[in-house]
Amino acid sequence: MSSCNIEAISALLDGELPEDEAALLFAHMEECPACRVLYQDFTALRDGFTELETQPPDTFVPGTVYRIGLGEEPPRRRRVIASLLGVAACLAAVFVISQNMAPPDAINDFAPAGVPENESSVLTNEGYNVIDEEPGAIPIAPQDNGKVNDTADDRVEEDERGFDLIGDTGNGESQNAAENAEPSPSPEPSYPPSGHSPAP
Amino acid sequence: MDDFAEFVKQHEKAVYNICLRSCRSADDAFDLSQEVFIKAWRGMDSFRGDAAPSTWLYRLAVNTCADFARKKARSREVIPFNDQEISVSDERYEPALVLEKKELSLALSLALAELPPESRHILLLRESAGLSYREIGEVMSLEEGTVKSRLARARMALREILSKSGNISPNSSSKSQEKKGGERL
Repeated sequence: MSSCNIEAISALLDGELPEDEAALLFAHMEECPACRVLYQDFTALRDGFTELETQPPDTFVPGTVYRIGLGEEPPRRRRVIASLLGVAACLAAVFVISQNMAPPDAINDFAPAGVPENESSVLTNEGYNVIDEEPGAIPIAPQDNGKVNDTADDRVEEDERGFDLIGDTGNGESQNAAENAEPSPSPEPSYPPSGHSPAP
Repeated sequence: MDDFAEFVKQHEKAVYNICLRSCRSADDAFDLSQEVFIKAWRGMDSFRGDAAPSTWLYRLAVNTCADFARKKARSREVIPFNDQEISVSDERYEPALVLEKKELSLALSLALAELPPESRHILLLRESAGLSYREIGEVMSLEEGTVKSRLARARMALREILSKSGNISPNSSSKSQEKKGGERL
């Protein structure tokens, strides 16, 4: 083999070159630096492939056998569990922060201003109870019982919101607002999601 | 059942790596590999035994990956390859883990993604699955001689990509070498 032959070099690397041709190629590479370098590069690529090989997760075989329907359910993948734990931690943190930031009587702020406390307690899924006031009537301002100013400002905003709610009773928006203020209980989400449930 | 579990154990790594290098996502590779074995299990009855079961399995793997790539292309999820666009959910591409990988290996995985699917599959069947030229020919319905030339061409393409990205010495992939040898391909 007196000339450069890339196919032969590739086949030599794969052990697919007949012995006599391999001997000729080695002889040629002694004299041809370019082919020598090419052989070295191909060898480096092969080593790279070896480095690149990745072992599938431990759950692969039991998971596959389970999906076929012949084995027991394997433990859930760690990443999913870790994600769920992360979401739970975030929700807990948000809850704790919101509890710490809210004033002690903040629960009353969720009721629209202008609605007496005893009426806010009859909030239903259908929305706030209709109050017999004409639209556009000035809502009843809450009593100033010595709260600091910023809380009083909040009250003004709540008043406006409460006024809108009272005026809008009868259309869908008030119902949506009521649902936003206090969401109705929703059914438990199914787990695992149907798209990821293993086949029997 | 035990026989099939053993069959899965025997080939899981090769099938998983073929899928992983084809779809570039650990999660997708996991699902695709399972799909390959499930297809194999369901198709056992139709397996005629003309070729080795492993050959048949790798053909299923290559076809499953090709189908996946086609579906992704249709849904426009395939994006021009760029190392910044690798999904962050793939832990193997997180910076800390990437640093642990050898530079050539990472570059190789990026370069592999740039190859045409057929070149990538033929290389993976050889390097990851360790198939002979005859077996690759059976998997891909090619003559042995064609496998030989396409494999050499795929290696040259990979070397060229790595050379451009500076991961193989520019001197080593000189154009004179390609000109000299390229005439033979």
